[in-house]
Amino acid sequence: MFWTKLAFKSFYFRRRQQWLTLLALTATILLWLAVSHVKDSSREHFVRSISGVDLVVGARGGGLNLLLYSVFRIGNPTNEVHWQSLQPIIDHPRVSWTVPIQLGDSYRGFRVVGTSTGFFEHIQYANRQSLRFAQGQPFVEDGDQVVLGAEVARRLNHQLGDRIIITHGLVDTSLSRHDENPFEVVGILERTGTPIDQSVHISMAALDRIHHNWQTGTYVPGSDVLGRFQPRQVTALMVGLESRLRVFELQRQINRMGPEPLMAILPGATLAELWQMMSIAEQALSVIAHLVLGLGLLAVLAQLSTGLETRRQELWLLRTLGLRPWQMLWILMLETLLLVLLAMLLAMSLLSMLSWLLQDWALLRFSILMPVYVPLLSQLQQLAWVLVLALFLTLWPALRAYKQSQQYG
Amino acid sequence: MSLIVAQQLFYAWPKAKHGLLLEHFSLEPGERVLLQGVSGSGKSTLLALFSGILKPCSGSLQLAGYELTKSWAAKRDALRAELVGMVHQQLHLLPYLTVADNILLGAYTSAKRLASSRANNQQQLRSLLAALDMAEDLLHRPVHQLSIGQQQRVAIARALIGNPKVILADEPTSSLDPENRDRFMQLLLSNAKQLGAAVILVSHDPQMRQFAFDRQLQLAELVRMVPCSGQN
Repeated sequence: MFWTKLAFKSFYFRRRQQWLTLLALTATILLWLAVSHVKDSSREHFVRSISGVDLVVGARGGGLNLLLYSVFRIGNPTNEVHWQSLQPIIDHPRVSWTVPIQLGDSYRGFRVVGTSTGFFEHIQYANRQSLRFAQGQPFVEDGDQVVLGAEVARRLNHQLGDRIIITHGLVDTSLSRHDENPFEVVGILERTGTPIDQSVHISMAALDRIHHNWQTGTYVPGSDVLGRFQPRQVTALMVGLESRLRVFELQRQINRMGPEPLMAILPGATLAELWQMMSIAEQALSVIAHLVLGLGLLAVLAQLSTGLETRRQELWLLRTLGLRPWQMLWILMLETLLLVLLAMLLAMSLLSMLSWLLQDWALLRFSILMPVYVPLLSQLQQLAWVLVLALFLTLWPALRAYKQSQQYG
Repeated sequence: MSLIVAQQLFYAWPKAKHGLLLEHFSLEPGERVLLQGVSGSGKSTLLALFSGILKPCSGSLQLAGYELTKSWAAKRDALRAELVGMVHQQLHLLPYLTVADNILLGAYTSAKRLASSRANNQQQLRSLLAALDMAEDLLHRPVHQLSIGQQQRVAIARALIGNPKVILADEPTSSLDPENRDRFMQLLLSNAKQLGAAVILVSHDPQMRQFAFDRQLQLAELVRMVPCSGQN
């Protein structure tokens, strides 16, 4: 106990010299934790964003691209599909439901999603959870009504009954506003932690109607067409099957359909493709993070070695008092233990704070919901190994210090 | 039984061509010995050997009956902790400990000395302070608030706490003015006598002869420098 107290006091006494080492070590552990946090949370984000959808159908092209823009709202759709081409899928006996998705417009920086009321019924997130309304209800087809995602309503402070104006295209300039078609907010969804939170949902019919007036790129008054609505084009079609058993068969059928080239993807399989692509970058990042962590440990070792030079007198005195080798070892290891533990605690709390502060930025910039960092058991286990390694590395300067303290004066 | 017995004790410094040879020396319990010699004559090395910090190369060296030439480092450390109190040229008080903890450092390395320092109802710390003319309220101050004279007395108390069998002092007064030196020597010798501890003090200072030592030796008469090859 006495020697533990002594080690603590000695450590505190030399806090000015420890400060930089602590900083360097904290930074390296922080980097290491941050890399794995971003990796985990982006995966989590992608996985929870799609659930219960068996196939996504869109124009033929990159499957990954289709998934990214239709589900995660990352990137822009390259091609649209004609409604008539999708009719055989909608009527297919094995298909239980379909939900169309049309993208391309925005409302004050948030994506506008043209869809059907089926969206609120069939689209699920996370572990097969259905969408729920925090307030209000779904829009009626063909009505001038919108349903807002939780984040849109919160950030723009919208209530039920507010009237909003949708912008043509993704850039909000006053020139391209659909001023003549204000939409009423009739529903606000509960938070899901997926891109749905950042979306403005509107019926396909209403979206098509505002576009109809813009055929030539400028608004032509009086050209509104009334009558039974039929969407002409959609970006993607979400498909739910009666039974998942025949999903590959249906996928093959759709891929062979003509005359318009279509493509069907399985969200899970395409996500796996994404992981594979990302894993190279992830591995590179994590190798760098590990290297940096190693450098941090070297910094501790360097600090300890130079510290031993300045502590020569102190350690020599303890030796003349009859301090045993293992007591000396304990005093020196406790110092490493303190440094590494302090750095770990600091890094974890810093990362929690940073992830909390940067949450909004990550959401807006990358459409990725990064949860606030909470230490994971697996990380704690790995950090425990780091600690053991650090203590092991301490053995060497500690033994040298014991040897050296025999030769003084 | 003699406290320290050295026979044909030889020690060679690492990578040196010469070694130090002590043909015979013994110290009785409670005996106070002054070893005089010029610097570089191996005074500090001799004390480091007696305390078990350095391991002799050959010959025989017994500390309270234990043969140091045949002991492991940890065993020698344990013997030193239990039997030896050291006073150094510089004071070497730890700046981050209180006065009380600096004194108790001398006892914490040995269970026996710790028990002994606590035997009289935890009074040894206080009686030592009283014997060294120090106020009790100093105990919980940090050492840097003490005067040099007070710090010297803390160093004596650290060496004496827990009743060691022998005090080894290496030029303890070299940085003191004559007045402080006299006071220091008087306190060291009288307190060691009271506790029954033997003293070996090495110094180059001829003035040391005036103090109450039982034996005064010239180091040159005691040890010889011999070439390493001649030994083996």
